[in-house]
Amino acid sequence: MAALNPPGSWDDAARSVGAWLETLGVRSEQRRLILVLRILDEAQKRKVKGEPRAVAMETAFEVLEGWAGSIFPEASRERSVVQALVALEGVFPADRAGELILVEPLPKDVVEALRQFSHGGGPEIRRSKMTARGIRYGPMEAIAQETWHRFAWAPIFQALLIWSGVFFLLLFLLGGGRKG
Amino acid sequence: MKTSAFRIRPITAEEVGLRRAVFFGAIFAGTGLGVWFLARAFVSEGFSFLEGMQLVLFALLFHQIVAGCWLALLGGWSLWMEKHPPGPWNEPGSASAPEHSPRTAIVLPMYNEAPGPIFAAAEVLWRELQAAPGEFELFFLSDSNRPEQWIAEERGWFELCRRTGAWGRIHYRKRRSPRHGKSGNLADFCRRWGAHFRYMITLDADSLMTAALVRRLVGWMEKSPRTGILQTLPYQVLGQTLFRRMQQFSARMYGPVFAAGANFWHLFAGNYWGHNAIVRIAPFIQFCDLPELPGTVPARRQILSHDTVEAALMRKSGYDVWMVYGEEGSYETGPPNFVDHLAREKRWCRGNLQHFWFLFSPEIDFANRVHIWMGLMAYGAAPLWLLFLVGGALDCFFKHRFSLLSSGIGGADGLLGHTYGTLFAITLGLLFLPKIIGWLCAAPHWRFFGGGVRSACSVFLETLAWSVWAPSIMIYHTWFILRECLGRSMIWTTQNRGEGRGLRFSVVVRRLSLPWAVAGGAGLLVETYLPEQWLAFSPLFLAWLLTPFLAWWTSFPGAGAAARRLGLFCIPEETGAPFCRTIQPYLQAVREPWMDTGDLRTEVFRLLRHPLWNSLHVRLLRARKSASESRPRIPFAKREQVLTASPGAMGNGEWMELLSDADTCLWLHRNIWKRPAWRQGGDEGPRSQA
Repeated sequence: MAALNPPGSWDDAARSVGAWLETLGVRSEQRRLILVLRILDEAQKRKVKGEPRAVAMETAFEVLEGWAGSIFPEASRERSVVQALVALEGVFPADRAGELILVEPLPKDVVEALRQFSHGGGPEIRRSKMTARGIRYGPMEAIAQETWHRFAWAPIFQALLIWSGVFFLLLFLLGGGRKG
Repeated sequence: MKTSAFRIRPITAEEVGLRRAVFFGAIFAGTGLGVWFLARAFVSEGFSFLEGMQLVLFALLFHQIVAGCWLALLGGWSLWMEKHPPGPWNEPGSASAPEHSPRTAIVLPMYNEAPGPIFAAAEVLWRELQAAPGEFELFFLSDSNRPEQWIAEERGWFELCRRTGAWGRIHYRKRRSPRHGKSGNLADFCRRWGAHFRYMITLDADSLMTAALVRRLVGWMEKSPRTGILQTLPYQVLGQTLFRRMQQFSARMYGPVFAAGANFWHLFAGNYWGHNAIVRIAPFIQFCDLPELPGTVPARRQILSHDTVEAALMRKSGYDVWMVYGEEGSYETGPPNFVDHLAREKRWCRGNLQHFWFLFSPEIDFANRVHIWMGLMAYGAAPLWLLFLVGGALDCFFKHRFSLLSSGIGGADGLLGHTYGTLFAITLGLLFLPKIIGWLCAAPHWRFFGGGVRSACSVFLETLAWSVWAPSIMIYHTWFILRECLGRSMIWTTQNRGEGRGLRFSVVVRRLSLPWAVAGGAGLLVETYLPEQWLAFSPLFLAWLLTPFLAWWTSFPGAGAAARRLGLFCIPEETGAPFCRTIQPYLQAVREPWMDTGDLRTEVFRLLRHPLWNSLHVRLLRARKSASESRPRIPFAKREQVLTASPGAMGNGEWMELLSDADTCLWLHRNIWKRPAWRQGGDEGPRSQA
């Protein structure tokens, strides 16, 4: 039996756009339905070759970019979406943010609030010079610097370990003989 | 009257001199007495090379025990007798917080720690700070190199800002290249934003500090312009496993006594532990960037344990470093079990050994040199103790005499045997006296430690447990030092702070097999050459054999809960002490964090699929500087691989590289929604391509 909504159909595209809108925070089913229809209508008008889902989603992204571009006209299309979504979620509570998604035109005070929104990895950067000052480590450094250029420490410790082992082995053998 | 150049309250140079003379004089006298006592016995029966070696080792080891005892004695005296011990917290008028706090950054370096409790505690701190005027800003400085941690941290930061409305005042910064670990992380902060602030309060990922204490610290710094660092004494909390409960009990019981004892002699030349402290930023930037260590291998020239060195550099620049003790509101958590305790010791061992270079630097203050020496001896004592034991056994073998350990067991006769017995008893007394002093000093609050009798039982059991572990710690510290001397590399890993359900015995055996091996080898040698000494060495063998069992048992939260029900290892923070009320909201928040984090698969696909989290991530990525870097860094084939392969098919490094590229993140987000291979309803990732 064939699947009711096989991938590749416009129904699948509609579901995909609907799910995407839901993740964007559009909680009202009625509004979501209206937006899905608007996006699918626009996508079908384009008569672009490709899977309906891909075409519909590309259209959806472009619609979002157009909406975000009206808020941040100075930013590139993709960056304007980034700025708009973060600002929207930052300025308004989640419910209200969802209501404002893809609303055109947005009220002026909302646009102003979104443009004013600032956040990020810190306040304005004011560079300070933090440079290590040299420190004299004293006589041990002088000794170490001289010895480093002549031999490595690791083999010395390894040799010490080996000779300690030999020493205890001899001790064991000698002692064993004496005990007997 | 001549006064100290670094005085805070009227503390004279004579007083500083007197205090140090008392402390170091007592150590010298105590050590000298012990050495003379032993030397006299050795000389009475002829003095051998091995005895000479034992005498030197004894002096090095015994001075440490004497110092610990005097720290506790003087600390106890200070707590009981000194109403106003010297320190900026006793500056007249400094108890009240300033009306308008200067700009203060609270910085919290993160490195792969669970973000839920961190953000939950930060929310409580932020809300309390906002209840009174002050110019505080909070910085989460991430060096995490696990993608799921990074994503969760961004989400946690965003939610925290949304919950508190503190946009622009609570910041999250992720470094692309985590150079020089935590010290590099803080230095990066100082270079970028340090100029905005007068102070920074440094916290660790597991630190909790109440707003009241934060404000008091700022007040004290304002009143003491020559103070560069104020280090608080953090107590341990939130322990569930028996091991952690023992640790937090001992830290709470003896911590104040030792801290007061340390403050008795070092005064304005205290140490810095790298967290739960307030730092004056301007001199820190100017003088405290870490120098490189001598050496031929670049990777080993970087200082790992930065705090002690920073304190020394701060002192070198003429600023004071004080230790604040007896103040409530500064907390941390410790390792949950003995195995993790050893893992932390391994890291700290390397860090402390590196400080060796500063010991001989002519530019370091005397007190800092002492701190460095004490830090070195905390680990260096282990091989010395081992040598002392081996030397004693060899001496015994060659001379058919009893070693120090064999005293009291029987068999030793003459002056030497009597001396060993007496010294052994004195050593035990010096080791246990600090615990008794700590317990007595806590007398007014015994009821918050479970009561007088139960707290005494807790002290006894905790001492017993560490007596069992001490010989194994000796072996492991020696092993760590040997590895370090042989130049074995070591990765500075995150401390495990989760308690889980206890360790599996197979894991414990695998991780703690060394004591068993040593017990077997040493047992064989003693049985062969010193069979008459078997009884004398038996406590050591028993401790080595019991170590894994005790480590396994104490790793269980159930054992901790049982002890709690019996009223053992209780601390005031959990028994409703009125002086610990301010920390309760923080503890509650940490126990029930408002965000949960998923595994790699969940977090990565949440990020790639969700428009907000994807946008937030891209927004937080720092803009690339050069035009050449703006080209797509990640090849399209690699991007395509993400859409078809499962998340587990790529390593952390690959994911970190992908997620560090803004264009790739945006491209993946777009294509995930466009591809039919992706499910719509969840974050499961690609369907099977089969």
